[in-house]
Amino acid sequence: MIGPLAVLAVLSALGGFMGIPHMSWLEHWLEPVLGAHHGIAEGINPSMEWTLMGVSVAGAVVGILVALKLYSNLGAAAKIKDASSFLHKVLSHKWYVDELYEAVIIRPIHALSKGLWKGFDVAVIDRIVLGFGRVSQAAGQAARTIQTGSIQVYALVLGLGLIATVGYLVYGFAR
Amino acid sequence: MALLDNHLLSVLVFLPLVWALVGLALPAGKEGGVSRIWALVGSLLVFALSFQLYGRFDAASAEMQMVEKLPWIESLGVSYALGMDGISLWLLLLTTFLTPIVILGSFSAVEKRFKEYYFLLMALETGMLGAFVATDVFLFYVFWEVMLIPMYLLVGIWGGKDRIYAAMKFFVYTMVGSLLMLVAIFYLAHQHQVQFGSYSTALSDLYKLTLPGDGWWSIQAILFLAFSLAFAIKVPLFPLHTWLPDAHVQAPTAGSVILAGVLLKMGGYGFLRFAFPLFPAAVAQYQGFFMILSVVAIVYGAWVATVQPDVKKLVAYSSVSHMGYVVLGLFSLNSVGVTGALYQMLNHGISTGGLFLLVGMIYERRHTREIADFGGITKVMPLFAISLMIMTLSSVALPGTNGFVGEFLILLGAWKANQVLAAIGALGVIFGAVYMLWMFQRVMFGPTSNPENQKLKDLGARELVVLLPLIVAVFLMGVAPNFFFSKMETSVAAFLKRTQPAVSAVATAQNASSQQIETTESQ
Repeated sequence: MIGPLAVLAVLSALGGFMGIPHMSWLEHWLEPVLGAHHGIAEGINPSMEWTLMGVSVAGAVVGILVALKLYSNLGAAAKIKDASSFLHKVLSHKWYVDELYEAVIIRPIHALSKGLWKGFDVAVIDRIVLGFGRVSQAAGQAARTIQTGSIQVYALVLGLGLIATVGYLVYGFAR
Repeated sequence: MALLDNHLLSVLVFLPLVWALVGLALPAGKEGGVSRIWALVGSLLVFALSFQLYGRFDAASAEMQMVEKLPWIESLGVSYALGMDGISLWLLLLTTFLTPIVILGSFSAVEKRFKEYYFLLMALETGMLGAFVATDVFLFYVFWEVMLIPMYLLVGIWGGKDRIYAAMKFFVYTMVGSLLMLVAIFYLAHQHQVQFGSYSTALSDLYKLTLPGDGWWSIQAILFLAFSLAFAIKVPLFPLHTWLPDAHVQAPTAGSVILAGVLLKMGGYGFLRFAFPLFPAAVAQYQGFFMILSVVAIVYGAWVATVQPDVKKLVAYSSVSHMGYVVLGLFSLNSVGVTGALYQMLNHGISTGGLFLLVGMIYERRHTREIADFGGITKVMPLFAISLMIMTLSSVALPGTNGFVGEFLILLGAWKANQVLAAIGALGVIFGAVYMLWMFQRVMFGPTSNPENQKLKDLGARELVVLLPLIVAVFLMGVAPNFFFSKMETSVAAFLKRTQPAVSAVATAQNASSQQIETTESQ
């Protein structure tokens, strides 16, 4: 594991330099569409930016030094651990953030997603879509039943229609 | 070459079809060997030819370029009118770029009726290119319908188990949507006759029409909705998306790639090319409605994608989410959002196209797409793992990949139009990472417990050649977006100029009415 970690360490130490304000190519990346000098940087002077960068780097360095000092003596580190077992348990479970997240966000959304898929996408939307097809088919089936193939019936309907049409033309307009 | 000089677009559009017709006359060869080489050479030729478009395109002008116009159905004012601008340029190149890729990608996937298969793929290319260059609304409609037939047959003949059902659903659904558009086209032609004394369906003529556009159910609004139904089904916009998972899952790999890569873009392109400039007042009126639908699509598509047990269905639902971004960007009606939407259309073609190709490659080896059947594939197929990771990251819009540029611009554009909707849309970025990375984790990592997975062969040379152009495109578009933007900004600005007055008019009206309410309340 040391090898990959070393690579990552080097990259993360160098990666930040890609975005140093006013000194990087990344700064003008999306300018043609967004226009120059938009966003947070506007109105903040460079010394403020450098101060913020300095503070955060200093914070990281202090953290690294404290950890180095603490873990260079593993016996002492174990003693601190035994002295505050509750704190250690909470910390080693990362404040239980993962468990909390799992219960509050992941599981409800997962359940909701499953419900939406089976209970809404397939059961409601798609059923409506297929319903249009079913209605057309049913209408065709219903219309089919009058196509009996019996010439007498066709002739009768034709005759009735003719009488109705002629009757309408002759008497319908008179009123 | 006078033909190429004066009729480049026509040559480009019909070359695939003519080439494919000649291919039909040739023998298929052993295992379709002749047919596939013929199709590959033809599609590469078309791709090479399409660079002419890039070379001859003048990015400084928003006018239609390389125009061709011939009267066609004169009694209806229909003309064979072609032209291209910065909006169609990249979509045309995307089409000519993806076609050889899917043809090469089909070499081992297709096992029957080789001649017909490659014929249909190339005929489809003619339909797609034609739809992107048609500047006559009726001609556009013809190409729009022409695209349906090859895709219907590709799904119905070479598809999976439920291919007939999926093909029917795809065909009827899309057809129903476009019929209302046809009615609207006839109404527009008729209006042109009423207002100018002659029928016309040329887009430039229809721009001059005055159509009443006040309120929710004005003439303009009804026409806009008729066009939008066709486009929204094609995109597909929630809740008109249910044909997509079926069609994608059942289609052969090449069909899925073309469907996701180009056909869905037809919907977004239609909005921008036809619905927006023809009905500006209606667009402004319905802006909020469509933004809400697209945000629902983003989140809903992502959620439903998360719980899919089938990889291909997962990618299909991810398309619903991604195309939601496209519609969100388009309807933000500002240059940042629209540029982002156009860019996202290209991105989606590349990343989702790549994902479908990769799913197809693993399916050819295992004959299953169930996530649960996989696990630990990284160890046996490292090259596959790398390719899938790149496409996954492009799909979740990691900075440095193409997806980031598109999504970022869309969200920025949407933010200017409506901050609440943009914020909800931004959640989709997180959910997108959830479903893609979780899928990747379950398929690629963990122990290779299933013995069938232990001796899978890694990607071969042909498969790498298929994927490499897409991978290059992912990074090229991720780090050098200006190269692409520079060609489209003038055209985008010209299109927005037509909708802008209407948008501000609606905004003023809404402000006025809300102020009125406030003053009446205070009285």
